[in-house]
Amino acid sequence: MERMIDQNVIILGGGITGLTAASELAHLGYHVEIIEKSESIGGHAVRLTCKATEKCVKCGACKVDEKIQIAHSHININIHMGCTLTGIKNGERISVYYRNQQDRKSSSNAEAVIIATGFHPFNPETKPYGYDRFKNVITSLELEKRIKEHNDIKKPSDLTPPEKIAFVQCVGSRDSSLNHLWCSKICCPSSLRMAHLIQTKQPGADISFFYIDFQNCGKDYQQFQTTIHKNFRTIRAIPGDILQTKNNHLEVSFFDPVDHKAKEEIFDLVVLSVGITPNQGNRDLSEKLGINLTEFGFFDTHNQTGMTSKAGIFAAGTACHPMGIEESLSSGIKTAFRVVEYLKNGK
Amino acid sequence: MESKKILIIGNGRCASKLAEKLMNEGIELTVAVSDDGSDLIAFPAIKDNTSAEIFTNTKITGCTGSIGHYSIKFSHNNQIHTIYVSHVIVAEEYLRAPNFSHYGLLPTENVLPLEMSRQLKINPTDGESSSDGNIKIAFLTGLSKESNPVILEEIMDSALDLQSNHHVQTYILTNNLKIAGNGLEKKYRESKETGIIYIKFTENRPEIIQEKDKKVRIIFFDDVLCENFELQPDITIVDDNLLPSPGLKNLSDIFRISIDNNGFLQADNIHRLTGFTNRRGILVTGPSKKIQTQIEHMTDAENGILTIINHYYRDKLKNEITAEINTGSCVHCLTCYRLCPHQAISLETNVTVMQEACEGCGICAAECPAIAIKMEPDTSGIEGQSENINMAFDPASDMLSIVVIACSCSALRAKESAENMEIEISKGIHIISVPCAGGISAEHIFTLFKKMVDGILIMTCHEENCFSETGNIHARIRVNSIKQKLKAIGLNEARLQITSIASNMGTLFAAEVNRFKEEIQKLGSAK
Repeated sequence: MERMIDQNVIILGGGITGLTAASELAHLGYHVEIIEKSESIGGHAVRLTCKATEKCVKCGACKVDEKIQIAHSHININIHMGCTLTGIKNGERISVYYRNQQDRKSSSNAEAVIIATGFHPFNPETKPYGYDRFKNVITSLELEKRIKEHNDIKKPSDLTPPEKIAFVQCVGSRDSSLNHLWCSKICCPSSLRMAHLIQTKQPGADISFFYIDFQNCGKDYQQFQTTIHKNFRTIRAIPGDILQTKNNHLEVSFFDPVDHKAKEEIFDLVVLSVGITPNQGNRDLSEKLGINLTEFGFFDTHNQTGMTSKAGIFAAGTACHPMGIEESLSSGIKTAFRVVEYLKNGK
Repeated sequence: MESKKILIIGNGRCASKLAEKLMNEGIELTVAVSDDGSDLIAFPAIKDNTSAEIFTNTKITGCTGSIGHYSIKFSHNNQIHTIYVSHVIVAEEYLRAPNFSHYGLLPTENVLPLEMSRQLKINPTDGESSSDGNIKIAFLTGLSKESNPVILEEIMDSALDLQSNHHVQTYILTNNLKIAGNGLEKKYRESKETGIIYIKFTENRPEIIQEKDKKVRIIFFDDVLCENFELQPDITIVDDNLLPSPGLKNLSDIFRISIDNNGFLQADNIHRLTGFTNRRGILVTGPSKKIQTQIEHMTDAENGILTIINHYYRDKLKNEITAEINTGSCVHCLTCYRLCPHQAISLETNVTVMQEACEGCGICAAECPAIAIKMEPDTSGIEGQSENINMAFDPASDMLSIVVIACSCSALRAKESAENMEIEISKGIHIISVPCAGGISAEHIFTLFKKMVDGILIMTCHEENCFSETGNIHARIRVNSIKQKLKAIGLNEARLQITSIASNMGTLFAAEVNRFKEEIQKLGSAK
């Protein structure tokens, strides 16, 4: 028999952070309602591929399935999918109003709310890389999805394996023209691991990285760097623009930092490592809740404590700042702990 | 009776914060510190609280038991103490090693470690000798070995203070700027605006010369000006290497928990991301686990506390399958003790399995030379599930009988994922789920071949992703030796295969199963 505590926690968002917090709280006996806007739970992580070659590369993508299973099977967890939030009232309890798939109005009451609404992947259409115009310019998330669903890497234009691939890092991150003054943390690990996987599956593949600074990838980056990195060509520059030439080839122009010359080079496939940006709905949600956002539009949690400016309202995961899977898991657990402390002491 | 006490091992901020939070939860504590404990005792929460027992100058010397019932021995004042605790949390701080030798430098009054940079006394007249009248301070970081965001933040904070408040020109010389920490990119931009000069190296490294008069000269090719440039800093500050506490090796040996290549506790394994180790009830947090910020250390600590609260207040989960040793046939060879990845074998009186520690992987049962270990209940194991195969198998039919043995941590989930995605998996495949592929014995395999199965595909998790640490490696070793036997008895060795898969790869699961089926179809029936 599972223990039941007569206290409710509402979690906004059924991504990896929300699911982790939900499973922790449910195990402790709290009743959890997950309100998810899409038709399925698992968030972005569910679309990520395993990047293991012979060995696991510790990307964490496989962790989400376990969380989904717990959320679906735990007696203390209720999931409402396809819901749009319509209002929140902060009375004796916190009331959350939402509309479900069938356009039926519904509401739930709770002692605490966790905002785990996640992030919005940067849309690179505004960058001069021809995304959405040239078939063979794809995002890192699209590459993840391709490998996950088809176990191979193909050029979208003709479905043949690409021979020459360019990864462009920091697309939408570390970009002062967008006022995106943050590192998204996930792009170096994801793209470096995928590049390693591509080279294992397709030993002749010629892979170049356009980058600013390589960030650590896993617990032992030094090891990763000495064994894997050396197989990639690295160019410390961010491309100017990308044009399409005949046969859907792509001409990437960049300033070569080694011989100080502007250059153009032809690639078969360009992967844009897109970063984490705040959800567009953050502003609206923060106003409904009466809580603060950071200057960049993420939820402000007092120096990463998980607590917002309103008692009983917590925020976790990429809703607060960019982070990868491991940090999202810890953030979900930490925030669950904060909720437990709050409900024991405060309420 | 279960103990309701926790042992914290560590001296410093992380250990004291842990202690404070646990005391707030009303949990009884013992703290064991390897040195005089001055860093720990300085924290108000510890100083003012009498409910936590603190032992200084200790060394952990023994650990027996399992979650809820650990008996820990440690030396203190030339005596061996024994305490009974439910959990152990390791929270030892890092060791800092300044990277002087990496840059070919010797420490002098003007070549300093990073820790000293915050206490620098700047005398404004010091800079008068240089051409522009400014004191120059150069920080060297990540030039010989990749650094990390923790060190970068310390350097930026220190440089910002010197640049803004002390009329100093600071330079930060680096390779990859490790900006992947919260707020660091913004701090980087702000620090550039205050006048801090960042010089990044890619292929080449600066030439660093320490003259006899102790002056340091840094010579490099300036990419912007396209000419050689020489920097003569008044003070040179080298970055630190953050090393695991030297005591962790001993703790890894005593607790029999895994350690990574760099000496931090718990080898990198995604099943242990949030402070768990291969042994239930032994937790590793913060600076004993990896290099991360203070806030991340605290997150770790809170993850650990929630694990403990969960254990105390929640009905105990009963393991579905556990190992049982038949003491009558046991020959005390200790193979199970040596192999058990979860340290669930007790040698106290007889060789026995501690039920609350057993994760049910079955590695011991598959390896026991005396066949003295059985997994209970066996209905959920291979034996139980292969009963059904016997029933489904009809010797008169020419349908091939193909079995997939799926590890429940990976392949079984991948199968479910394929089903959820409505990906077609070949018909007529018998799927047997096992808690861990490490528990598949030669006996299991030959029982299946005896039932005239035509092909067996074992699907495990990837190496270094096994919940039972080495279960997949044991499975591979066993498959290879069984293949030799198959050859000897005239069965094609391709009828037994092993492959690895992750739990989120539904398409790959279907593809692998279909590929295997086609291969067996080519081989035909094994009858």
